[in-house]
Amino acid sequence: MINGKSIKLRIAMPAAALILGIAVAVLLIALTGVSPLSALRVLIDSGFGFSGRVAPFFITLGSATPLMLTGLAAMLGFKVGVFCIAQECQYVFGAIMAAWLGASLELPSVIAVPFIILCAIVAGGIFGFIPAFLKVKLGVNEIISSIMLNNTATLVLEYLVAFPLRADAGQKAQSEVIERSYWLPEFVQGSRFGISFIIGVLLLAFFFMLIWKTRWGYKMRMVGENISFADYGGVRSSRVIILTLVVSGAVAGLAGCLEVLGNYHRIMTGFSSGLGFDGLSVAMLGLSHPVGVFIVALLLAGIRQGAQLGLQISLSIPRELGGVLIAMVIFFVAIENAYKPFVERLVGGRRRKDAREKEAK
Amino acid sequence: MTRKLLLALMAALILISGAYAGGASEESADDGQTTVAVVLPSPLGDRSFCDSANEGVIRANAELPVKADIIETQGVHEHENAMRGAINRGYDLIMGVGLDTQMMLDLAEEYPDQAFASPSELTADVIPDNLAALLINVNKSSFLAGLIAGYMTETDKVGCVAGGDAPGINQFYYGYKQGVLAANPDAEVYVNYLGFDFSNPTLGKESAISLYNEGCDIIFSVCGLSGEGVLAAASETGNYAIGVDTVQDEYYPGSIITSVIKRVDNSTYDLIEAYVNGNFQGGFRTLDLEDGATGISWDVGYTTFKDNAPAEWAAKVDGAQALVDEYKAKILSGEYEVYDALTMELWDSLK
Repeated sequence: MINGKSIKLRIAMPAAALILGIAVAVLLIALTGVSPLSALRVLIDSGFGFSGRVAPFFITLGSATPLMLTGLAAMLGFKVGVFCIAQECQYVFGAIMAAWLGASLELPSVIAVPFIILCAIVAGGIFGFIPAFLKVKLGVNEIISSIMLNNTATLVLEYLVAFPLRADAGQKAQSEVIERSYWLPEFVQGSRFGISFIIGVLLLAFFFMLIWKTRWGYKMRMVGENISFADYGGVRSSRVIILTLVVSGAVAGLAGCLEVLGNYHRIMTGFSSGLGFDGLSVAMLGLSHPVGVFIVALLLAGIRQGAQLGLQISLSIPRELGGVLIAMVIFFVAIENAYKPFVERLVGGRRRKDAREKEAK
Repeated sequence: MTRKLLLALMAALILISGAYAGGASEESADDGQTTVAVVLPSPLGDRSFCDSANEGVIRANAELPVKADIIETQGVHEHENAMRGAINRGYDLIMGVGLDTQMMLDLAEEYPDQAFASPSELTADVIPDNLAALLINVNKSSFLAGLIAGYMTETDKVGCVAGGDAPGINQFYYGYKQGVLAANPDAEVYVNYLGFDFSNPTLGKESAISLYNEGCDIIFSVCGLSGEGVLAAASETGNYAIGVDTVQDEYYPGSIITSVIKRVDNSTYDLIEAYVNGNFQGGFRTLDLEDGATGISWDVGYTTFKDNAPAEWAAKVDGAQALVDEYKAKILSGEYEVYDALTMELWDSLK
């Protein structure tokens, strides 16, 4: 079904979105009176470079980790044809679990850390189950139920860090720092690039195998492509959807947990800062493919890092520009139909498609 | 088709290499000059705490041989990353404005050769040598504002919209409350905490309106950008407010009685100046009413309220001023003690 041309087109479309997004950002940079070329250089240097006390590239690897995982979580939903956006909520509850248990457990770390991770996975899974169950059994739109869940999670988080979990001496709404022996090691001091990254990459590889090389994955894809056909073919599609979303929730919960254990070591207001939604963009831009998710997560993390610490400091361009750049890319992905014909002509997929249509006639 | 992809790739490469060739000279321009990074707790534009620190930075850039950069953050979750980013870039001095104490102490310990500074709100028993911390005590100036509120209120109910229930904010609130009760023992003081949301004017406004509906006629706003909403609510409902951090009297003339000033601009500037002049000193110092680091806007000659308020309110200004002067003398001579939420257990009289 998938021929060489359509693969090429599928890669060309997000690439075109990226180029268009950068083009608009370059225009905006030019409006601020800074040379877009030097802005680009600074962005790349401080997002992907190797200068400074800790190489920015490693920091980017570190901050790409949660994006990889939330991207993977969103991708799993897409694979069974469900646009579930509860990653934010699952991520937050995973993090809450880790921060709460991390500060209150008194166990040796070999027992405690796996236990904390397990609890966070379960927490994420539960919040994956809720929208899945509502959708499959009651026909509740998964987008609406998961938006509601996201709001709930944000408010629960704010309540917890302002009251029950708040560090006693703190000036800020944040929880106590978790037990030091539970911290996940980092490979490069001060970079946040550590074990979590490896876990993320392994999970991407695992799900790649699962989705494309196993019967279970075949069922998932079948449900995603055509649910009636899957049902007809004997797949119990509601079970597949529920299980997949539970697993997706578990992955997002794990992302939150790893961020607490490996990066923040505590939770605070605004902890999530929209990482769940970022996961959706990562999955979409990454073509719902593990390799794509990996690349896009790195790209997004690097752009953000470069915008905050590069553009803002070196060139006094507002840090929001990084956000604008990413938003423009997502925008161009969303309106891809508007320029798809041009890209098709460029890649040459159009002719083939026309030919196929003729054949069909 | 493959050729087109290749062409696109080459175009991208040329663009990137052009970027490197084009701007190579810019970064080396600031060699030799002292560099300072100032990490702010929230974005600029709050017309309060962050903007005040920014003024200090602007003044330092203009008057001192130094290149000071502002690094804005979006909230607590970005603080540490921004600090680490600044450390990474090799600034001579890195200043965290109103950031978490423990984080600052940990970073100072992790990077013993890096100079750190904090122009406000940092207290700890032991402070490392590479961290210079200034603390501006605002309890006394808030007390003076409380006196004014207690003296002026017509409903015997006044309020305070506070950013969060933490010692640094409570220093404002309890000083204010003590002042209200000193001027008017019958008064009731209501507080509305915002759960550490310092950049949400809508929330500030809702909270203020609920206090005004409760019968309060004066509200002390201690919540950064969220305070914009408090001040707007005062003006819109025909009530009164007290500003914070910078002189906010003129934002809604006649509605804002006075402002409790916290001169973060001066403390920021002073720390940068000390570093540039080689007088950098780790450790902890407090600044207070007598140092001119804090006070109320009336002290520095603002008569906006008196000039614009309805006649019966403007008429009360002189009486309030007399009361302020009386207590200020007592406080400075040590005869009268004001509660300090940063260092004391809560007094029974303020519960």
